[in-house]
Amino acid sequence: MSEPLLEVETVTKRFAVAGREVVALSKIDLVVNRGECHAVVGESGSGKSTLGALILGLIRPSAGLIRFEGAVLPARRPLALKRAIQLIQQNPLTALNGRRTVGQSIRLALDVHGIGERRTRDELVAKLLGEVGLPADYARRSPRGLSGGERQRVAIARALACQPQLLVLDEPTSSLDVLVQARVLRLLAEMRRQHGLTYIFISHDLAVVRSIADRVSVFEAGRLVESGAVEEIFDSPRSDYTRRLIGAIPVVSAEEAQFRDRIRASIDWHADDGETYA
Amino acid sequence: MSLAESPVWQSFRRKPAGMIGLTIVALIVFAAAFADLISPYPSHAGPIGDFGAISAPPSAKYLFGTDAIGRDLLTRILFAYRLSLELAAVVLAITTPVGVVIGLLAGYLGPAVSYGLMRLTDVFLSIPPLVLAMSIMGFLEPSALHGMMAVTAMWWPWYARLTYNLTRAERHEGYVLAAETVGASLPHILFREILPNCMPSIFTKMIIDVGFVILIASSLSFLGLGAQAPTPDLGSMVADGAKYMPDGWWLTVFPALAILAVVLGFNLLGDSLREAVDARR
Amino acid sequence: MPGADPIQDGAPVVLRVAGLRLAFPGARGPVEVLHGISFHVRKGEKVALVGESGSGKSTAARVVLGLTGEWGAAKVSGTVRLDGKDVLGDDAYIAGARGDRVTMIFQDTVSALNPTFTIRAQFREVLRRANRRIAHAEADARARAALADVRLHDPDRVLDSFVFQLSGGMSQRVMIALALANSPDLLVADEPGSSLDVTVQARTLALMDALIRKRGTGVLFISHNLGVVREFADRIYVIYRGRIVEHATTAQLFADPRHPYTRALFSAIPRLNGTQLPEIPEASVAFADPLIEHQGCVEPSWAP
Repeated sequence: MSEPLLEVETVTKRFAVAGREVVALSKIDLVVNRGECHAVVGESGSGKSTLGALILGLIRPSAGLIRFEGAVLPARRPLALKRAIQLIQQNPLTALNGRRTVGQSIRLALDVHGIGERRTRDELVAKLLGEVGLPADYARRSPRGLSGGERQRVAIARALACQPQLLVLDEPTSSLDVLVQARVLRLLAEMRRQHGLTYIFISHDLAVVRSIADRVSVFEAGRLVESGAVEEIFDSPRSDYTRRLIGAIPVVSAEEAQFRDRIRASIDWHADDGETYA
Repeated sequence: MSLAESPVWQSFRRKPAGMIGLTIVALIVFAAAFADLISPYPSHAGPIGDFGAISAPPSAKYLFGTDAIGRDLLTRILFAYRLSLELAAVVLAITTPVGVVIGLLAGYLGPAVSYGLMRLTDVFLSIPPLVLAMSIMGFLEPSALHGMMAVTAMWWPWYARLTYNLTRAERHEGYVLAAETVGASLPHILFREILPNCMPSIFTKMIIDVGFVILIASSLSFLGLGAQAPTPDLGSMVADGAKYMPDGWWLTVFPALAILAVVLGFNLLGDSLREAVDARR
Repeated sequence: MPGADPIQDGAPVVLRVAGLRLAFPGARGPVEVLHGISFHVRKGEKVALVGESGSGKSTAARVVLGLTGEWGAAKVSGTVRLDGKDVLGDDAYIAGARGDRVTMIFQDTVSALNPTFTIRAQFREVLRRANRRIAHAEADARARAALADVRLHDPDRVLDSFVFQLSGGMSQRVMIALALANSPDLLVADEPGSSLDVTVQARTLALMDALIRKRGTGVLFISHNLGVVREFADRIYVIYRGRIVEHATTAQLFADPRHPYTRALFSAIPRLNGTQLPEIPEASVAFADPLIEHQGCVEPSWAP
């Protein structure tokens, strides 16, 4: 039985945008257990990226708090805490500094946290590259010559170098082609198993979520609409919004179409009320 | 990948203006470096000339003519180049780091820090450079050293402003976010992550600035506020020669052309480098 | 899935591309991006060109639309026939046909619609391409009708707006309405709606589908998403690195994908029934296997 690793307790986040106040997240309660892959799902404006930023400590909640391993996350995080929670970004093309080699980017994590002996860190870098399926000599290369998929692998190696406990993945495969996406998703699953990691997987792509997540939380316009095991959420979604999300997924097989049509039938799917001004 | 293979060089090579600038700069730097070896009358760099050839027009013996004390103008111009380039090097060596550090901090740390710094920068940038330099000289006795100090004191805001803008553009890029979440320190993020991405623009600005620093310094000495006699200085030579126009035309024209050449050369070189760098982005 | 209408044999061919090659000048000699591809679209037919990034699908679309001007020194060869007329290289003809006989929808509405003109002004400009002397009143009436077709309520308010005042879904509908306002023979849609939320995308594509059926426009649909293509297209070309590798009707392709590359694509798609993603082979040599054409899917012979 696994215990909670991250607990979001009644968190609200407000932003001031052009003089108006926008509520990005409203009274969110969420628990992520150690070792699970927890998907945070929603469309644009759902607040899912804001949640990621809060968990990483890039912004502070307006109300409520977040606990990590039982202790409340402070405003200024000590290095050990930063090390424990790492990020994989959506856009691999900008996530690596074009003016530093692949090896330097990965080694940064080792140097900052004093992992391993200074003399042997380059070997650690080579080992990490091997784990993510890249040749060791990539350490000397600039990221500019690498494909999107390769860069994402480097980003994963960099995150792993910190030996974190929790990885926040913000749409990590949305910018990747289908074949590359499949490989990266398999790599992520493998890494989670090998290193006992916990994932918070932010995505708008429900098909991806279905194939990799253990639990799912669905967000709409800053509210947590529904949360549960992935099979429950997909087989018997409780909220209409979740049903609409599932109903909108483009599928590639008759079998999936059947499944999806069943969900569509349970809501008023064909009502296209057009678009109006708010 | 060596310098010769780099795409910036490949792009730069194809620009005729840039190659002309590079040639001019190379010639001037070479001449200045070896002034004592290649100038025809090295002793004329000082206070004594050839009293038998006072204010002589250009001839085979004195290619650019001589001045009122009989000193070979070509020699003095070569030595003046050396002093100008040294001055420019010192000015930039001080102002660039100061301005860049201020710009990095202001650009990264946000409004609390940047507001004060950037308003200070704005004050400096709003005053015409020569006027600013002259005002500073108002507190100091005219000399080459003081002229250099004045130019140094007023030059850093450009680098601060440039670096501030560049830093703000990079501030929210993915790699900066990645360094922050990994836990890198502030100095690391500023100097090892952001600064390398700003360097091409800063470097091309430095190249162009060599010409402009020399222009401002020459303007100061033209007004008598910079290098004093007998130090060879392009601006002073133009000022001294102005009295003898149009008969003693060579006394003004050659030093003026020398200033033109150095400003033009560094400008062409710097501009083409900037185009080559921008095209790469 | 559009299974109701059979392939429109005998419907006139609106677009015929044969042996299209495209090469860009590179640092070390020309780089070929399209290696001689052939495809066709008939009136009223929805044909998809499916591939990943770098496959050349968007490039091919731009060649068809005559938008190669900005590429300067690109070398193009082959045949592109629009309504029976050879148009490759004939920039004047294509420029004249664009907006009228051939229209396009892009992925990104914000850059496709002019931000400095109202929607009304843009409709007028588009309608004028078909009828240079159309009166303002008639143009506005047709614009309102087009907006009603895409189910945008309050059309007058939309007409008076600028594109940045509209939401993503709304501006996508406006773009569709503009593209179909002149009932073109051919619509080229490059990843439409892929920047939208999935619920919005689903609605807009359904809408586009309905409108196209109504007007009988032929569609060349560029996409990387097989799921979207399954809902929308009649016939599919799979393109890999500048070569067409498989050509089938939608029913045929989804029932029986044959080319190794197509099969790899299918196996890589995450499924709603929760099966684990299988091991995907690295780009294997088999991906370069020659074209597989399913039954009945051949390029028409020359006389259209």
